[in-house]
Amino acid sequence: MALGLSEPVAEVAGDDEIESPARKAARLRRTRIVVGTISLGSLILLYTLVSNFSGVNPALMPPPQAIGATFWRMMADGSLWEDTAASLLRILVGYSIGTSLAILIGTLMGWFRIVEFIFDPIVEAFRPVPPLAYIPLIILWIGIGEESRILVLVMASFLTCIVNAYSGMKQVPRVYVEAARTLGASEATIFRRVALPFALPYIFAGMRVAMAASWATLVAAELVAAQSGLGYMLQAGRRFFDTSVVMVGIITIGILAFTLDRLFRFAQSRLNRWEEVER
Amino acid sequence: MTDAVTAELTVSGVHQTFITTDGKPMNVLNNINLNFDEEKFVSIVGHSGCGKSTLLRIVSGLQRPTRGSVRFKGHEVTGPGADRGMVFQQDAVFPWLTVRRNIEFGMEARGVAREEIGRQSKRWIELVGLTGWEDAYPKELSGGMRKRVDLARVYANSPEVMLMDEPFGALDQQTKSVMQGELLRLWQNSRSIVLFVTHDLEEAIYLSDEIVVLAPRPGRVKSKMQVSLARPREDGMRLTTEFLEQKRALHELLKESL
Repeated sequence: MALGLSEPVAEVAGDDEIESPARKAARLRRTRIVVGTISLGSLILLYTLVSNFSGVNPALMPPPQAIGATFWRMMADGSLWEDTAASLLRILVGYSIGTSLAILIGTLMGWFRIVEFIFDPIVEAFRPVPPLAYIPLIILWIGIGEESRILVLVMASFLTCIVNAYSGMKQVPRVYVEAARTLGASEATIFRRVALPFALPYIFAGMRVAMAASWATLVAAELVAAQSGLGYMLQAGRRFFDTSVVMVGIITIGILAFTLDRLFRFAQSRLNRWEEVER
Repeated sequence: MTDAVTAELTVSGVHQTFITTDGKPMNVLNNINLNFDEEKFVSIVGHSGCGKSTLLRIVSGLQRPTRGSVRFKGHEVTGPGADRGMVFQQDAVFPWLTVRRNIEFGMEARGVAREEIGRQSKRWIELVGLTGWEDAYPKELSGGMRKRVDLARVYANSPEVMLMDEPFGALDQQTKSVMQGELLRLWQNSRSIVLFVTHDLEEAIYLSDEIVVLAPRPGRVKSKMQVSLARPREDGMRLTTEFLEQKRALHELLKESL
């Protein structure tokens, strides 16, 4: 508040009673939204001004109205839907397989030493290499079909998610396990009702990171080898020197990834209501 | 604590040796022999390093002794069981379960019938004074309230032996006194053998019928003391001459054990 940001909420500041924490939080949230809107809005405004009035080549920097027109055209002819659907389907399949395997193997790794000893070296061997680096090899081995793109996604989501699932299970406090044991719980019950719930927030965080990694990998994979998808759309836009198509692609990916991340955050807060978030 | 062979809970010839990080063997418990054959409240006190927590863990079955054995109702203890409930010093209440679900955990794990679980959890929630908090998560509760959940969770499992490892060690003095009173009330309600580990002499006298004093390095039974205070115990007793005399006597025993 020392930054002079209290201007838009002067009506609260006028109150002479002491501000409650809830009120303060609400005030800060409002200030944040207002300032955030202004800062992002300014950037868009700046782009609009430069692209329209500075004499820069519109083929390189298409003004927002041109991008909007391209957007409508691509919606109307269905190409935007097709590419979006193609990308989302790949994400859905690759990510589901990757994270399911990661949760299965990661939780078992974190709980059973023998599973840890078996899989840890393998995971550690693959993990330092960015999944994109495997693309050429995958193409050589199984071609440039749908399978290879999905396989890269499986690897990307698997390798990011497994680390969290594994470490979440490793961190289950001993006192919880011992308390469950003395309450008469079997080892299977302890795994299912103590270890898994404790590790769930970690697993969820891993799934969220894996979602981001999947997008990054997907777009790159489609840039290299694809006939459809948002990455392909970007590549096609560059090839035909249609910058507004590239812009539409970037904006679409941004909106989709942002929306999915928000959905995740929402699910996360619903599922992990018990977590000690304070502090 | 007679030496009758029919004792319900028997600790016989228990030795425990740990290997320290520098590879040397450390004798933590040396030939412990104890019998518990009535529904008595027994405290185990001793200086740090006397192995009192280790002894409790051995009785619970969480720890196997190097030598010797624990027998409960004629059977050798080979692992943890719901018949021997345990309350830990640390907060062991599951943060992902509500108060009610925490209290029901043990009964569910043992496959108790649903209606019985509901009846018991309701009863114990009332007994520990948490009515109205059934659906709260532990993060919404104070330390003392969480300890109540912990006690209710173990008691709802109707154990025949209660093992308590400094359960109130992490609470402030006021909360601790209140919880001691609560514990005695619960114990009066459902009698069982209680083994209560503490280093707080006042706590030991206030709660117990008998006190076992362990000597440290290696941990061994040094002496036993009967507490002659009448039951039910009341908070006011803590400052009576009788109480203070017993506290002094226990203090002497503890000093001799060094």
